[in-house]
Amino acid sequence: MNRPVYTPISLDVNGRNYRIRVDHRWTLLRVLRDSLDLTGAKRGCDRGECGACTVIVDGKSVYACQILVMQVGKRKVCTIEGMGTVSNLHPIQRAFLENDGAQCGYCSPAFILATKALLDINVDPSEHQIKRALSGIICRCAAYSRIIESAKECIGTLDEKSKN
Amino acid sequence: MKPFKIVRAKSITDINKVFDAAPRSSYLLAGGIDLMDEIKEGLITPDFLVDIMNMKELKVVRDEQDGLRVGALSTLESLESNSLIATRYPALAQSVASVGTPQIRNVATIGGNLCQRPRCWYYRNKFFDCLKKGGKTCFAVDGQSKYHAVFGGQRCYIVHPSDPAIALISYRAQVDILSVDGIRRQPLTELYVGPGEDILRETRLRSGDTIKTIIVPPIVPGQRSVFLKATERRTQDFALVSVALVITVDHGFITDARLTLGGVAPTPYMVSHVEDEMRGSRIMDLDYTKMGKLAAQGASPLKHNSYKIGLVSSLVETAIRDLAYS
Amino acid sequence: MVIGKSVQRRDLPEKLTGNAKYTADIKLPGMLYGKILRSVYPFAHINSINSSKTLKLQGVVSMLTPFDVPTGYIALDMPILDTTVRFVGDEVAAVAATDEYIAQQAIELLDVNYSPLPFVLNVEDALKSNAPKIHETGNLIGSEPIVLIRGDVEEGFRNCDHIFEETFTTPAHSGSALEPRAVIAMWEDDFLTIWKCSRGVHSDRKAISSALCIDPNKVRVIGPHLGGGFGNKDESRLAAIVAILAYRAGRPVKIELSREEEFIAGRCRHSTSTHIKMGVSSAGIISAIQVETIMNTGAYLASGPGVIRRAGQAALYLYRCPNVRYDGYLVYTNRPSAGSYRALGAPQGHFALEVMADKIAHSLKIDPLDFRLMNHVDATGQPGIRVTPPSEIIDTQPVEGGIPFSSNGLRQCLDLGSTAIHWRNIKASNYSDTSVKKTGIGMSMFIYRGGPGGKAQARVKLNHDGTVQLITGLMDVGEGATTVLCQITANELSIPYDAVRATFADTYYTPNAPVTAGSSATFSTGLAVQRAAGLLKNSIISFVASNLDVLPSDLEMKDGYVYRGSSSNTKLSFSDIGYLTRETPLEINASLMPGSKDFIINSFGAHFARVEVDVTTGQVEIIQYIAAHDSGQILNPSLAVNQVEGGISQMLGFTLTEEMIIDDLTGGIVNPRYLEHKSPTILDIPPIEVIFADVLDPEGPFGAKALGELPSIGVAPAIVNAIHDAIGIWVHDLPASPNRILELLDNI
Ligand SMILES: Cc1cc2nc3c(=O)[nH]c(=O)nc-3n(C[C@H](O)[C@H](O)[C@H](O)COP(=O)(O)OP(=O)(O)OC[C@H]3O[C@@H](n4cnc5c(N)ncnc54)[C@H](O)[C@@H]3O)c2cc1C
Ligand code: SF4
Repeated sequence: MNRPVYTPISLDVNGRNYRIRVDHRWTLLRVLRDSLDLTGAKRGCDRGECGACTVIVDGKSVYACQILVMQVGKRKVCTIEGMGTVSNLHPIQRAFLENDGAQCGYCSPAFILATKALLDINVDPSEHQIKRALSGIICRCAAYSRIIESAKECIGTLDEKSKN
Repeated sequence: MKPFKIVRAKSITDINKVFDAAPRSSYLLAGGIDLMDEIKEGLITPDFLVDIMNMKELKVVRDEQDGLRVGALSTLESLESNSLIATRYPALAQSVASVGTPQIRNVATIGGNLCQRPRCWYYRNKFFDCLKKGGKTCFAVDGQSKYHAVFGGQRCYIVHPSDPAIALISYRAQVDILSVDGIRRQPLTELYVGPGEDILRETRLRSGDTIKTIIVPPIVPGQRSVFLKATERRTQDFALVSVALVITVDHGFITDARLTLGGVAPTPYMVSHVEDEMRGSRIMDLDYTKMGKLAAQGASPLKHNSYKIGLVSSLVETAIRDLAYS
Repeated sequence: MVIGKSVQRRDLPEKLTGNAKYTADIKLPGMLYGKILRSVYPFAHINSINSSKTLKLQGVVSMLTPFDVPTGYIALDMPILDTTVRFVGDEVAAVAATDEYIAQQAIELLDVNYSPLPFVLNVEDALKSNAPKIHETGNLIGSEPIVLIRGDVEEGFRNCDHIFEETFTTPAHSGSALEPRAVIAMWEDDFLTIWKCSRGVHSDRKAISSALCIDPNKVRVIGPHLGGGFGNKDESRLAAIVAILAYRAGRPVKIELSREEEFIAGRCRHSTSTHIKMGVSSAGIISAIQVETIMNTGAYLASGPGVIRRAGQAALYLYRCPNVRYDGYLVYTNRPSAGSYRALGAPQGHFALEVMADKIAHSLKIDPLDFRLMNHVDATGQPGIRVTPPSEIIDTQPVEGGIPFSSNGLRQCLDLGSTAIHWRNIKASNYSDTSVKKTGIGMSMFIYRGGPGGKAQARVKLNHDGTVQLITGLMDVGEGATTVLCQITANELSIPYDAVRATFADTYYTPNAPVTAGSSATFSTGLAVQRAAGLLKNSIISFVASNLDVLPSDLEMKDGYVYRGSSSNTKLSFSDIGYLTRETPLEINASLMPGSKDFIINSFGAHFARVEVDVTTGQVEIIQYIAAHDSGQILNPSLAVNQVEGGISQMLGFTLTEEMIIDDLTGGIVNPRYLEHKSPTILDIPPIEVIFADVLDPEGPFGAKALGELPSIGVAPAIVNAIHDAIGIWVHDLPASPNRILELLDNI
């Protein structure tokens, strides 16, 4: 192909329906950050090796950098912007705040979403299950101990409303 | 990145249409985990990606008489959480669980996993124009070869990257392949081709060929299996060496054995001389250390990978011991 | 008191909701995207660049090549762009275009004519007399090693019973912060605004304005949230390039590096080779230490001189010893440039010295803990005579003896840590393993600068709404400086922590500040903040005194109010005072040169590790890790624990897996990605127990000393010593990766 191929699509992000025209080369991450201005998902490696771009698609954590937006289809995308706000934190975010579960913060949205994806299907995970569920994200500040504490703290705090 | 077009396929006819028109620049797109990496690294420049994720017939997972049929589009996560696989085919479950990360397993398909391209760091880096990319040299021969092959390298020293393939081959899995000529069934081992025969690719699939189903034969009484994988980190790592061992034990005697190694050769490496040695032996009397040594026989390391020889021996020894006491 | 409390981190709510803006998150109207073309040769002369195809490409707006670049230098040995390239990945040219795909295509279309030159990758080769010169000044920086001497080592070697000698090496590895470097430049007439990943906006401004030959007052540098620095991101070449692209385009330009570029062009830790010779009496008392370190700085100098100096601190000062000599060689090669990375040289220096200490203890059959208890430097400092004139501030890394420390909790760290890990019991039990997993225990101790950095400045101001504005040019690199400095301000003025507002990291609004480096933020800037807040307190009191017509001594400041007498009901709130002073706000600038004329200010620590080594796979598992630290008074315990745990976990990579691997034939990095650089994951980190010594430093703000870099120093030697305890093998060359362990086991 010599020219970019564009197709209009609709994309469900955080319960909102976006109608956009996309270049077939665009990844979900590219669209979230550049077309929808949802910059909470970060580009750390663009190869599925760091996890900073983690978002939830139909309940499962995925790397937004390795999925073409054309592959998303009707599935529901949840990003960090779909969780709490500064004045009204989601219980998982509150747990990360109270347990200092971050340093530079570049990986924080990813860890929070991966925690959510786990707790949405397993309300009472073991420490090992937590670590495994979070093992797809690199924290170069290596604040892992605090992150594990934060995630553990969330167990049992999620009511039905804060799920999904 | 050059522009490309994504075409949705619902059937093999759809696929063939695209591949007929542009055989050299069309690629099947499943989860996309490996394909995206290749495109971003500039290793391939597709015009068309044929998205097969809507092909329902490739999604079925069913237990049948001739074995467990696993649709090629099943995600690794779905296999990891499949209780039937966990109980009957533990080595497969373990191999799948060892792949990459949760985010990868949630997206990657088993078909794509079996067809992923090698991880040789020279191959994956567009700075190095190596033999596999049509260039003139193999940089690994005199260069950095920590992760390269100790068996079967011929001009090219890649190692086979898929963990599930190692387990599946030890279970004697077969694959159904869809093509213009219909469906053909073949042992999974025969899917792979070494660099001696064709340095530019790793599978015998022809343009547009699509893996439909992986068939894992039914388990037999006395079957035991294990998958082990040595890595540097505890996750997010390809295997330095991986081992899948499936044996059948009858009244303490090994009646059948299948041992496959990953991370050591350009294709899954089947160690038939060790299998022969094991067959007919009493499992408790077997000299595990000797079996381990035997498995590493014939290895010819490069500059930086001689450690793999000892690692092969250790893992094989551990695998047999694990099964003896299981 | 908000000092010593784990008050909530300032930056977290924004970061946890995805609202925090990092440089790459910023988008300006009309912004273009740039890409850099990088050298494919490790050493080459660029004869010409044919850009005709690039310029024909639709969407290409501006370009920069070494043939049309302004002549300024961004560092002594680094022009903005050069016709000589010195490593695979060195910047050749840059293009700005309307989108990233076009920019990428545009640089690929540039036709560069190179004359490749013979190159050197290793220091041994680079030091040969016939080696190609990477810069005109020669490959050995300064033409000679730095030599630091106390006493007479030859004398020390004559007067000892045993001499031990050994060589240790450490590889280059990358900090590879999760956030890749990004820069945005925008011109409004002749005024330049830069947003960049920065560790010091003021030093960036200085470098950029001098390279571009423009008035610093016409340059504004803003440091948005930083996605990890670890000492990195202190260079400005990328910013200068983007600024020129933007100038030529007449539109804002942004460049974001790829992960691969980060590994290549980001700055790695210097690889080292260290030869140690030590003289010891039969009783285990050290009489001489001689260390020679050769360091590979790659193609550019960057912060090399500081790093080579700091690598010697352990040899010079950790053990009490009258005779010491350190020779440090800093050498150019055609490798990617090394630079500042957490604790600059100290991890390399301590690795060699602290493994050596264990080897000596082992040969003399002395318990490694006892060996250290007998020899560690104590509060009185080193033997010898002070040479620094009494009127001068003492260096934080002195060579001379005869100067005491302001505080020294090293002994306490050794005691607390060894008790916590049950050192004596475990050692005495003489455990034996029959399984393939062997367990062992090991330790290390360390010394590091305690916090005095360059001149520090701070401004505090009473806002009209009664809040207090803290203004510093400092960059919060993710470690929480914003939080701690606000704590200091609140404490000094007896106001709630929430009543302090902070302005950081913007040259437009803030006074000059040093880069966030050398663990100096809390200590140095902290002292300036404390002083400024103290002076603001005085001026508020004076204002109220004259307003109420009373003596200042009759007034008391408490809980956000100024009271007349302690029991009185007459009081003015900060908001009242802010309102009254709204026309001419009360504002204080304070600056100071941190440091002491009488004492060395250093921080200390001791680490203890229990490991399990699987002899069949070569994998090392850390089962317990104890970190005992003397960083003086801990101003925010939660932040401090997070720093220590993070520093240790990060350096597990340096110890066990991470390495930047170069192809010898081409000079290219073969593993410029996370998957193969092997940074630790959440499943690789051990349980870590952090213990703080009870030390109050008389010189630091509220008794505090440096903390941020220290945890990274003791990790490698503690673990390598534990590995020896487990399997009887000394690892001299890092990383202690499975393949290395297996190779070493094979050779016995
Ligand atoms: C960070 C990281 C770590 C990893 N670690 C491991 C690991 O430890 N072990 C391991 O085994 N793997 C590992 N992988 C590889 C990963 O498992 C594969 O990339 C993934 O399984 C590919 O599946 P996919 O569905 O995404 O395939 P795609 O990327 O869509 O396709 C891969 C290739 O297969 C072809 N293809 C796809 N489906 C079919 C089909 N049905 N028939 C014929 N051809 C087809 C495609 O054309 C393409 O050439 C890792 C990958 C990453 C990025
Ligand atoms: S091993 Fe194969 S893929 Fe790797 S450099 Fe050699 S030829 Fe290329």
